Amino acid sequence: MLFNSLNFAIFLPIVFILYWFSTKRNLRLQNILLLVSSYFFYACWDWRFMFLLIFSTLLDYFSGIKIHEATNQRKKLFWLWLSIGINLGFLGVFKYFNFFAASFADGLSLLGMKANLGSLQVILPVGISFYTFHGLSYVIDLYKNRIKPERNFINYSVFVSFFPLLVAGPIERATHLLPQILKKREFDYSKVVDGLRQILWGLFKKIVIADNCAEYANTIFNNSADYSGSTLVLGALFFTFQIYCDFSGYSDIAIGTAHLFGIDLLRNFAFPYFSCDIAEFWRRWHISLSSWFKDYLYIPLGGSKGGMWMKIRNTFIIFLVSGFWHGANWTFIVWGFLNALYMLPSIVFKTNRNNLDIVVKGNYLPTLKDFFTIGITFSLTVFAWIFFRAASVSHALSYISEIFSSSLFTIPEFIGKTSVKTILLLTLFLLVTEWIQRNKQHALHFSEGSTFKSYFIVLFSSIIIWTIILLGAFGNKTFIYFQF
Amino acid sequence: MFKKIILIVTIFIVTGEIMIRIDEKFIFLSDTRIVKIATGVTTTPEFNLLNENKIDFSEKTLRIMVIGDSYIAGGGIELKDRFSQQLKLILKINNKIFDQIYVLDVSSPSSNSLDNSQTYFNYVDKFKPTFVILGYNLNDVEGNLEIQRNKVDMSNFNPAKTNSHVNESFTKKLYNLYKKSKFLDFILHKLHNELKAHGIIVPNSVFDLILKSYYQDKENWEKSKLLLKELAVDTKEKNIQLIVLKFPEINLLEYPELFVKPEKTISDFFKLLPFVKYVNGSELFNGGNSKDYILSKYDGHPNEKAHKKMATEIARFITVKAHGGNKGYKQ
Repeated sequence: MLFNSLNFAIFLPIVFILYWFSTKRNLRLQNILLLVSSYFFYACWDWRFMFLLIFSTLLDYFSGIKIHEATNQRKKLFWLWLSIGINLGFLGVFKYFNFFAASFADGLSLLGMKANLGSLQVILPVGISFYTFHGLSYVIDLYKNRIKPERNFINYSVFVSFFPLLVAGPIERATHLLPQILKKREFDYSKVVDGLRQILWGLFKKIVIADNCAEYANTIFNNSADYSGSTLVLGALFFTFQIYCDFSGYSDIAIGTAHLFGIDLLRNFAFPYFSCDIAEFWRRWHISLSSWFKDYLYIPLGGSKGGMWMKIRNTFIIFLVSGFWHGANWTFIVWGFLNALYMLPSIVFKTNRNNLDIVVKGNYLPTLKDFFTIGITFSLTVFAWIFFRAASVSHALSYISEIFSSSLFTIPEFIGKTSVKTILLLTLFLLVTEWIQRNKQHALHFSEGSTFKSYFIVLFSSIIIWTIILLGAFGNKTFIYFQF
Repeated sequence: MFKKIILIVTIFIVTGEIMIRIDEKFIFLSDTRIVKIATGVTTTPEFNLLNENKIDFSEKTLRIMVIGDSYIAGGGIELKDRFSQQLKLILKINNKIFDQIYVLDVSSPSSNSLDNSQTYFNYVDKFKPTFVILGYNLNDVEGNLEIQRNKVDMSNFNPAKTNSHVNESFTKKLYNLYKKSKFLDFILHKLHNELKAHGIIVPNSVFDLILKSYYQDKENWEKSKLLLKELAVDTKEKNIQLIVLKFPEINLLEYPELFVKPEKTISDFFKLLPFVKYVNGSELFNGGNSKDYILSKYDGHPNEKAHKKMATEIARFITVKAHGGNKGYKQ
C-alpha cells in the first residue's frame, strides 16, 4: 500500500478513528490495533513476505531476552552474533546474492576461468533493509546495556513493524521508539494538525515535484546517448530533486502519520540542499541512516579517536557500506566512495564540524560567500547523484564525459516546454518555502499565532492541496527508497 | 467554531476555483500529459502509398481498410503495437496466397458514426478494400450525426436579451453559481470518473447518457443506424466484407452488467445485416482482468495486449475467409 494511493487515503482515517475512538485510549488495545494495521499494510505488498518479517521479529525478540539473561559474556556474544548473522544472512540472500555471484563470475572470467553460479529469481522483500536495521539496533543496544529487553511481544512487534516506518524508515532506535510504545498516549490536537501538514508537504514533494521530475529524469537518463551535455545537466538536476523529494517526501508522510497516533519518529531530512559543506549535507540527509552507521559502525571501528588515518579509513568504510546498503550495484559503491572523497578535505583540515547550526541563521538571504559554498556543495551532490541514478558505472562515465563536451554550451532540450518551465517554477517554490522555514522541523510547521496568521496558513495549505490535485503526477508511483 | 469552519471551507473553495481557472488558461503540464495520452493520427505506410498511387489493386493483394476512433487507432500506445499494425503482422505470418497485404489505417481519434461513414466514403473507391474493419465504440452515437446542408448565417445573429439577472431568486442564483463554477465542475468530473472506475455510473452523467441513448433516448442511435446501414449496404454492393468490431470499455470489464442493454441493441441491429461480420469485443475478454488490458483505470482505451488480442481474432476471420480454411493458422 503506497502512501500516495487511494487505498492509503481510506486505510489511514479508518485506523485513526479506531485508534482514538474505539480503544477507549487503552494502551494494550491501541498497540494491538497498530500491529494488526501494520501487518495488513505490509501484507498489501506481498503477504508471503509477512512470514519473513514475523520471523525476523521473533528472532530479535528472543535473542534480546537471551542476551539479557545470559550469565556470561560468551553467551551474550553468541546470541548477539546469531541475531546479526541471521538478519544479515537474509539481507545477503535477498539483496546481494545475485550481485556477489555475478561479480565473482566476472572476476573469474578476467582470470580466464568460467563460473556459472546461477542467480536467484527472488523479489526483494520491501523494506527488508529498514526493518533489519531496526532489529539490529535493538539487539546491539541490549548487548551494550543501553536498554532493557521488551518482554511483551506485541509491544516489540509494534516497534519493528509500525506501519509508517516499516518500508522506508526513518530507521528507528529502540531507545527512542520503544519507550513511546510503552507509554500511554494522549490525543494532542496541535500534534495531529502538525502531522497532517507534514503529510501534505510530503505529498506535495512526492506527487508534484518528484514524480513530475521523474518523467524527464527517466527520459534523459534512459536515452542519455541521444542528448547534449546541457540536457544531461538538466537530467541530473531533475534527478537531484526527484530523489530528494521522493525520499524526504516519504519521510514527511511517515513522520506526519506517526504524529496522528501520538508518536514521534526520528527526523530524517533537514533541508540538505542548503548545506554549506558535505559534512553538513550528511548531517542533514537521511539522518536516521547516517546516525545508525555512526553509532553502530563508525564508533565501534574506533571513530575519530585513533588519529587522522583511522578517521579517514573509518569514513571510507561507512560511506562504502552506506553505498552498498542502497543497492547491489557498483554504481552505489562508487557513489559512496565519491562522497567519502568529498569528506576528505574537511577531515584533513578538521572543518567537518564547522556548520552545525541553522544555515545563515538570523538572516533572510545568504551572503555571497554562503551562496557560493551552498552552490559548490550542491554541485558536488548533483555530480554524485549521476552515479546513483545511472544503470552502470560505464553509463555514468559516458554520461559525465558527454556533460564535459562542447555540447554543454548548447540550449538544453525540453527547456522551452511549458511543463519543464512549470516543474522548474514549482521546484523554486519548494526551495523558497523550505528556505524560509529552514529553522523548523518541516516546511509546513507553523507555531500558533494571530487569527490572520491562521487564515494565511489555511490559504497556503489550500494552495498546496490544489497544486497537488491539479499538477500532481498521479498513478500510484512507487517510492525510490522502497527498493533499498 | 462553525463560523471558522465556514471560513476555512470558503477559502479552500475560492482557492480551488481560482487555481482551476489559472490551470485551464495556462495548461501548465499539458505537454507531459500529451506524451502520456497521445491520440494523434500517425500515418501508416499504406497511407503514403495510396497518396503516391503505389497500391497494387490486383487480385493477388489483400487490402484492408481500418476505420473508427481512438480506440482502434491505438491512442496512447506505440504505432507498432496498434491494432492495424498487429493485424498486418499476424496476417503476413499466415499469408500463403497474397503477394502483398495492405492495411490502410484511416481511423481517427474522436470520430463518431458520421465521421466514420465519411472516412469510409472518402477512401473506399480510392483504396478498393477487400475487407473493411469498423471499430465501433459506444460513444459513436455522440455529437453531430447529421450533415448540415443549409448552414445558417450567424454573422448577424443576435440572441434575445434575457432578464434572468433581474429578480433572480436565491435558488436560481445558487443554480447559476453551480453552472458557472469550475470548482464544482472539476470535483464532479473527478467524482464521476472515480465512481465509474468502480462500476458506478452517475445518473445523467455523460457516460450514463451515452448508454441510455441505445435504449431510452434513441434519437442519435436511430441516426447512427442509418449511417451504419448506408455504409454496410455500400460494402455489400461493392463486394467488400465489412467487419464491425465493437470495442469494450476495457477498464470496466469487471462490470459487464452495465453494457447488457446497449450491447444487445447493437447486436440486434447487426443481426438484421447478415452479410456483416459482427464481433462483440466484450466477449473476447470474458473472464479477463481489466488490469491486464488498460492504459488507465479511468479510461476505456485498450493497451497493446488488448489490441493484439482483438487483432488476432479479426486476423483469424480474415485468414479463414481469404484462404478458404484455417489449417496451420498461427497467432
